[in-house]
Amino acid sequence: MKAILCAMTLLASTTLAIGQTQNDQQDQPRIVELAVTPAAAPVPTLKYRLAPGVLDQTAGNAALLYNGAALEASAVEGIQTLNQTVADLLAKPASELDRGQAKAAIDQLAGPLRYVQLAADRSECHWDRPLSQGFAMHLPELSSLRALARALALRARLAALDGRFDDAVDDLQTGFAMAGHIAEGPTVIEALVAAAVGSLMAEQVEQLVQTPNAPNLYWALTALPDQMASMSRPYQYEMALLYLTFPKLRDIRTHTMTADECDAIIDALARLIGMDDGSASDSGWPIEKTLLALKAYPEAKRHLLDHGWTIERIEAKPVQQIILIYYLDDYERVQQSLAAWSYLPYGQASDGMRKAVREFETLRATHFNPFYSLLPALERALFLSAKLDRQIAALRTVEALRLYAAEHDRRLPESLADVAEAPVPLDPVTGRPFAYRLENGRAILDAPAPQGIEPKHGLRYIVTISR
Amino acid sequence: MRNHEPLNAADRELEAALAGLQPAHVAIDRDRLMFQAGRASVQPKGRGLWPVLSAGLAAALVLSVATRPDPAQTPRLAADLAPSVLLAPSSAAEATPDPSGDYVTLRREVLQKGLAALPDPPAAPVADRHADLETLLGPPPQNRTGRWPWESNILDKLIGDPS
Repeated sequence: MKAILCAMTLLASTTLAIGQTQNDQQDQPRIVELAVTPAAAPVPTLKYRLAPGVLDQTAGNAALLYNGAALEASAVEGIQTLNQTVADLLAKPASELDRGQAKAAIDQLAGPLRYVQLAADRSECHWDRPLSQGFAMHLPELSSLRALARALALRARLAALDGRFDDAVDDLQTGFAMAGHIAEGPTVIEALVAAAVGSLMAEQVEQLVQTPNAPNLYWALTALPDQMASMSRPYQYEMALLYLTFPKLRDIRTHTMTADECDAIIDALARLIGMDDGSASDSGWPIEKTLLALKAYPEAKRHLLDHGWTIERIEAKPVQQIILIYYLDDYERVQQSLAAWSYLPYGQASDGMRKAVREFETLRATHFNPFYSLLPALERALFLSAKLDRQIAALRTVEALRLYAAEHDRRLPESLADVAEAPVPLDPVTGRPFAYRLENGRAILDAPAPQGIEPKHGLRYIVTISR
Repeated sequence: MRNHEPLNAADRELEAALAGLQPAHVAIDRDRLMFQAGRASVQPKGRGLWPVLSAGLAAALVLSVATRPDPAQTPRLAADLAPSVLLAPSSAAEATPDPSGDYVTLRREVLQKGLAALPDPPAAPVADRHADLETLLGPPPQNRTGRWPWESNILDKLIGDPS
């Protein structure tokens, strides 16, 4: 009995400890210790490139080759297990990496990775998504590409550990180009995958700059495109998505629809946002729809009268159409007040965007509009896009520190303002310089998560100059 | 201290307009109003059906709105299902042409949980993996008809399976 109690206590305490560790990880920024060597800029300055140069590029559409890569990967024996193996290997610290196992895994993916390399060198990328499908559109190859990006990152890490810098930089260049190409897609999901792929490559740069005699990548990182996973274009698509899904809504204010047409849209919308599960057994929806109509119609009439409609014009249209117009007017007002912030760099947008999001949340708590459920989480999407820019800017800062150390007898600067060897970038998330301090010979660069975002999305680099 | 500055032109215009206002004619006929009130107080009981129905509907409406789950907080459209399930619509869903909600659900999942919410990459069926050029372009398989499978498929569709 005692043994059972002891075992249960041990189990409980272990569970609690694991839970605590997970909570700690959630409450902490990502902390990366970087032991680097001083390094001046390479000669010529742009000897290493993380983005393909013009002469490296071939005319053609990269999307076809990415599709080929995804198809080729799907035909690899045991691909799902292999993808998991690659993910597990990549999650390990470089010092614990089983290089033999990693190489064996990568070798099995050599075919699809060759397609990815060919695709990355293409000058254009048109995904040709079936936009007219609206919300029903699928993005079939994204998961495969993400898995291949992990394989590419693992291969770059292996090359860095073997001291094969050129090979590592080649793979990182492919990975960053792939991120840029995925970001050419129209949706928020593609921008998020692009940001994740870019971030994965940036993590390998962290490994690369720590290898002895690693070249300085300040200019290579600086030459990467700005806002690689920008959300401004995906947000334009998001704004159009509703009308692409339900084309009849485009003319709803000027044309009179039949009640059946309106009902079809309302029912499809209800299924889309989960108010109606579409099953024959869900008998609640028709009643709920009627009650909602009873509540919304007077509000809709009042809204349209306030906006210059005559009572005759209102009563000439079906009740459902008037309600849809009312909801749409409100949705567009809210949507545009949010989406406008996606056009600004995050550092400039953050305060105003946060205020707009809070206003929307307050409105949503008191006012029902089914279209609200179609709005993406703006604050999070914009931050996740800016997080990649921040990671690259932080890495450029680390490389600027290496430039400084190369010129100042292996010392780190007291402040970032002391670095004269190259411009130190601002933190794209705040629009201000990174928080920096020198502590016991270690440079600490802080980029905490902004308000409203979990602390785990923050970043801290602790840089030491290794002997 | 009050301001005794002379009125300007706009103030004078307003003063003149206010001075020109006449009391409106009282449109309420007190005797008629009292008569209607008395009549209303002795309405037959049967007339109460509509108010009762209206009150019932209003109560149902209030109850429904009050008990309806908050769409912002309730897991919807099988949000707890694995995205791979959502990305593989059932045959019934395919038969009904409507937006299946895949994109909205997947976007929400990816924004909330990260890219782990993306479905696993697909694996091609084992048979397809061994379809090399030789298999595709070589001589027809020695099946009972001596035809390529695709030939058989087309012929079956056109003329039906003779067997």
